[in-house]
Amino acid sequence: MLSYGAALWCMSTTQPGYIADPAQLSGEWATPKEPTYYVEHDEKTYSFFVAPRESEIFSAEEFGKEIAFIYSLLCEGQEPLGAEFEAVWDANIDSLYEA
Amino acid sequence: MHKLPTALEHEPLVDALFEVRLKDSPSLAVILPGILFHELGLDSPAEKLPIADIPSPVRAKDPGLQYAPVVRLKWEKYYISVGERSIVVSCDMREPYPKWPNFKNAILRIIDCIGKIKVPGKVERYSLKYVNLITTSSLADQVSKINMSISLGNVNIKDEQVNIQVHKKEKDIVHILSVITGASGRRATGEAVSGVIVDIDSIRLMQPLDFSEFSSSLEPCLEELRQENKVKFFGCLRDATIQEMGPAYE
Repeated sequence: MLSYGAALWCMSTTQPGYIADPAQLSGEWATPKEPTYYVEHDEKTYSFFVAPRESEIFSAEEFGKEIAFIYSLLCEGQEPLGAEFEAVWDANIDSLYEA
Repeated sequence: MHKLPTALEHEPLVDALFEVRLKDSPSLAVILPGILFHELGLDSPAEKLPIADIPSPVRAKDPGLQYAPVVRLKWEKYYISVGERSIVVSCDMREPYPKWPNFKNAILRIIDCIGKIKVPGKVERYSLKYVNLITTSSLADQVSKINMSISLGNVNIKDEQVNIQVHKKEKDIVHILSVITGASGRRATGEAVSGVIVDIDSIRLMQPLDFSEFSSSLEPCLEELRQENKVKFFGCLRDATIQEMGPAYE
């Protein structure tokens, strides 16, 4: 994974699913890179009665893993802007946080 | 096969729903609510569900969220819930179960309404799911309600907490049978209940089909799916359990 300063720049690796572990970028959460196992079953019909029970109460660790997973999905969806936009970014980065 | 009851005096049902999933469709949650609101003459506006706050690209990549509804509408005794690529018709369980003929007619009416607007995308599967909670206190009682005999090593299941799920494929239908003892929850009416859950999810997989063609051919297939689902449910129960529910045979 290549990063260009700003956290929004990510490029995909050949490994599907988990690319960069943003939790590890921050050095705070130790999340596994891949699930321990996969289960290939037909997906159940979505039910409001059952679904809330399956996501009942998160421990702090589980919540952290869920958030880290969401961030990893966000990173996976990033694309490089290209040379033209890169040049504009580089030319204006200094004024980005100008008060 | 024993004759199936047509009605139960003591209905253990806590959720009853029909779901259809599409592929290669634009966001149904954007297209359908306004059309359904108009076509069905709804009184109250669409309700945005909490899961809609998760960004769409994130939901699209998560297998557990891809088909989760994001918008819900209330129509008569039913809810119509719409996801990015799914439509769910469910019974409002704050009221008594309207019985299958009425539920079926509601499903067909809604699907017909959607079929007429020629929504893009193809139907890849549809399903009926009935979730029942048979109330009884002890785990031993809960296990005894179910027509099952399980042993794992030297453990014979008699009064244990059990969470079992079986995927049974029969022709083009996959039945997901779930039995969970030690369950407790709250009905839509607010009543606290505890007992054993018997959840029968019958899914028909199919070759992708245009929605309008799916709509016009649904009725006999839906009736067959319902009967198969019923067979599985009552087959999971002991005869004594069925009798306690006050069955009616017409």
